[in-house]
Amino acid sequence: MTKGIELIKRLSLAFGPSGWEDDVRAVIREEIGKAADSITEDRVGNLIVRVKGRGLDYNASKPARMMIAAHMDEVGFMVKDVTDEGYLKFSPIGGMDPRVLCGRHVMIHTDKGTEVPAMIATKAIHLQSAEDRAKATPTKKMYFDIGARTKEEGFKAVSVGDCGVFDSDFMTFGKDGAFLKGKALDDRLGCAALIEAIRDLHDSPCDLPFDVYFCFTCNEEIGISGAGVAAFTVEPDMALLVEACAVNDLPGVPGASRVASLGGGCVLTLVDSTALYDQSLTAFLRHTAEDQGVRYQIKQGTGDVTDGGFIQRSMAGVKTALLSVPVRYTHSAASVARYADYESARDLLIAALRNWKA
Amino acid sequence: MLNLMKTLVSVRSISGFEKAVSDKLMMTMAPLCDKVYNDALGSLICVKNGTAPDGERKKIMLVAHMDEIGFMVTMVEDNGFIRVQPIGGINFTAAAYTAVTFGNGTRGILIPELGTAPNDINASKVYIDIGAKDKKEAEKKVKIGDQCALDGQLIRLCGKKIAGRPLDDRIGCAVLVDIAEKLKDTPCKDDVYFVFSTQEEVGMRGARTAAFGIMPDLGIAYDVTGTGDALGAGPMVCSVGGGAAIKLKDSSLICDRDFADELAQIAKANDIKYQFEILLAGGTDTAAMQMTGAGIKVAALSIPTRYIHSGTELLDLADAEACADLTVAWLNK
Amino acid sequence: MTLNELIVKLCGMMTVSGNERHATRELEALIGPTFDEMKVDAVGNHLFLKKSSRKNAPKILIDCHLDEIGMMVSGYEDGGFLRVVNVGGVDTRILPAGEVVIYGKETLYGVVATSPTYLLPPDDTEKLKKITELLIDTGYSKEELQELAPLGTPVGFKPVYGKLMNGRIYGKAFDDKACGACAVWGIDAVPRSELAGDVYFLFSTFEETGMLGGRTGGFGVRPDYALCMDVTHAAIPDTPDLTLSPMGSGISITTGVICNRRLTRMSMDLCRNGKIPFIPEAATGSTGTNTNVLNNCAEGIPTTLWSLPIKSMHSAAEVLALEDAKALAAGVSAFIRSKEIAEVFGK
Repeated sequence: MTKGIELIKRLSLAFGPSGWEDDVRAVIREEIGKAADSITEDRVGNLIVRVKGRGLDYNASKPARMMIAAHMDEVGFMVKDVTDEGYLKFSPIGGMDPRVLCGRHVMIHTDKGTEVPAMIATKAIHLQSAEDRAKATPTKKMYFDIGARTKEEGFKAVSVGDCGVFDSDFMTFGKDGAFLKGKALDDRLGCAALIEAIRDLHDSPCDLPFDVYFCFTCNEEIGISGAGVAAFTVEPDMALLVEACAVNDLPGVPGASRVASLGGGCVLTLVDSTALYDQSLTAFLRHTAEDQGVRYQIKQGTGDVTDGGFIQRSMAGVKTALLSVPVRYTHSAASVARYADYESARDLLIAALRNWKA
Repeated sequence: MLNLMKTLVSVRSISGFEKAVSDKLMMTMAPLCDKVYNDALGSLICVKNGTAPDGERKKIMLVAHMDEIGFMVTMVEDNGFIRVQPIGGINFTAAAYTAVTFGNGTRGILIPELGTAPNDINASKVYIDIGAKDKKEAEKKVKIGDQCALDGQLIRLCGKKIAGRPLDDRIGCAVLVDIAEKLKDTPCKDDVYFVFSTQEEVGMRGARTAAFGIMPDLGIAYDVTGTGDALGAGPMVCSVGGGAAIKLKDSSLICDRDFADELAQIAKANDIKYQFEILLAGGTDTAAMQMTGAGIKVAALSIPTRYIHSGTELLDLADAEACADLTVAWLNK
Repeated sequence: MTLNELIVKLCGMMTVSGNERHATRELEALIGPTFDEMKVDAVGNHLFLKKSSRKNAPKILIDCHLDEIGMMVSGYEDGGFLRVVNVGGVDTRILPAGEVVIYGKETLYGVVATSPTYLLPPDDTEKLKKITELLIDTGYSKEELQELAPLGTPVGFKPVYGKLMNGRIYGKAFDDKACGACAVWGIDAVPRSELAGDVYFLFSTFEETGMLGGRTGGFGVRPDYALCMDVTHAAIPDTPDLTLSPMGSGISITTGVICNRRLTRMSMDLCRNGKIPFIPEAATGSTGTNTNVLNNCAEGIPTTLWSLPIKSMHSAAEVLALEDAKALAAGVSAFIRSKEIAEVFGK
């Protein structure tokens, strides 16, 4: 595995449902190490990493500010109750597709610091009605099996409010191992790109005409954006969001509904359901990509939900653009991405910072 | 093969009433084989002895079913209309408004009760009109328990394609005859049992008892299979004209993979066109053979056919010939 | 090795119906030493024999099925996707975004594709697709797949095993190789001199696709009596109106119309006397196991059915309780030791 893939693996495996991003923050702090000028954590848990600018175009008394954001949190589950038979009732944290939950492995991290493995049990096919087979079981009818036999045993192991995430290994697969599979690729891929950009700016410094605030944000998945708070704190002049973009590039899906394709490079978004992105910033990213020979594609769908709107409309408004890595089966235990697409997003991010001319 | 098919489709042979076609096949096969007999369930078994010495010959069973789907009379209405029950998997939508013939030659037409929506046509919603003015006249021609089927027919289409009925599974019978003809003067080393089985359409019954009686070492079944090449067909990688279809799976069994691969190798080596087949729904005599006794290693060579169980099934004779050629090449390997 | 390890090793093998021979070598190495002989028959049954030191010993058949449900490659789509058909009754509810292994010329990994809900028409967001409509994402091109995973290539669930509380373990294909592991464990524990008869352990094929192997395997052995072992459904919250036993009750012994009544009663006595936990289960018709075909095989085989309760049968994450598995293994030892049963049912 290359260094980049190792980094993604570490981030993918970290535990971090919305509101419980501590492990992810710790990994990011460790991976950045001394490569940044400062690392601070704000009051909602966003991790803000500053890389200072310098040189002729840098206004040291009132430096311009660039915000680069990626969210740390992932979708997960919260324990709501234990039944008399010892099964756990749960609610999803974030937008969870009930079709991908039956039979999945989950790891619950308790408040006590223990890890409790769980299964999302499924009624055996022999016992399913025709309707059961045709329609997904709603999450409120699902439950975790942790092996407990009674309510008491269940409550000895977990408490109401304990959280879990998919228990899924990280691996590369496909031809030449070009594909990545794991949980939480949305948006640990973005986090990885930011970390690699920070390291790159540290390892071969350049004259940045602004201070860059790399923001690793919270609570994206529940739609109550930590990124908005970070933007308020940072007060950026411009912002670039690095996200995972859910794609539907399956055989038989017509062009516009595919959103983007794995293997097509990083994705630039003109509009999604939260924001119309800044045209000049997006144009700059396009030109940079073309100049540097970075593969990119323009997103065809418009329905995605991201932090973009929160950043764009914080305070008096922020010019915002969205750069993403195409990912299949987001919010499942087996999200799939192509490493080359991640590389193009990372490379475009770095190239844009190094060649800033806006 | 075309002429043989013309003969075979001209005779009715509804499950349980296969005698007429059995007699025709017996006349054809007797000169080609060493021993010919019918077993208790009516299956026609024709044995071609192999050349290897006693004790060194394997028993190889090649089976095709000679029965076809049809109807059995259950009652005659007062007004002379005849009610029937299906024998085998009838596609009633395809059978509606077509001519049928009874065992004694009486003709009739199969009609859905007026006002029945096409999807609702089923056994209880159809009747046969033989033109009788009342029950009395009808009963002179047709009795309860008589059987009938859609008329047999065969037309030639482009290339070597033919359409008509019942190609399922007269084409398999024709393939067996073709193999027997090719082995007539040059027998292979093993004993070959050509089995024309009965009652396949109602649950592979004839092949089961025939296989138990023979207890073969290896078995191959020949039957039609569905394809993915008609408009609106489900996803299936098998096409008419694509060659002999070596079966991997249907809803009744999973074939022996080594045997299937061996057949594919031989097809490749002999330049015989072949394809693999995974049938989504439907079973064959192959399963009945496989389940016999302590288990038999089986394969199936299918003839890809569109519109199976309708009055106009379509297939390519070249595919059937490929099945026969492949079998002969395998027997002589 | 522990029973837990044996279960995981056996169940982790790929034995999708029709591909049982893939496991022959591994099986021989893993469980061969417990037996004197091993034979693979025309349909892929794996028959193991442990001989008793008694003369004219009766033939005892212990049947577990070797095959597991799975899928088979049936087509290819642009972009590196496979189409599959089911082999046996695959729980399609667990497939979207599920992980599979494709056992082609090379072993490939795959994810069952699914579309983001926000891109689906509202009516489709809860709809589950039929298995033939699903696609498997492989990371290879269509042409590469045609070469690497020819038509008919078996596809199985990715084997992942783990532990829950109270000795519960989860993973794929406990149905029915977990019973096989218990049988081997139980047979291994009994010295030859204590065997009441020659023990034929039939790891049968094609149970999931129509109980073929039990039928032909039974016919091949013609035992004096048989113990059929398969999994059964343990109670879960979704099944309040079914009379299922809770997990952890021990061996589930079926009192069924097609189980031999006397052998069943003697089996229960055996458990009582040996303090082996068991719970009776009632079956009025088909048992859904090889018992159906063994009981009526050839001149008839007196058969008793013992089951291991599991949850989420036919999914990639079945759950069993090790205490039940241990009871089953102890039961097998008692069964093949039992002189009483041998006297009644032996020749």
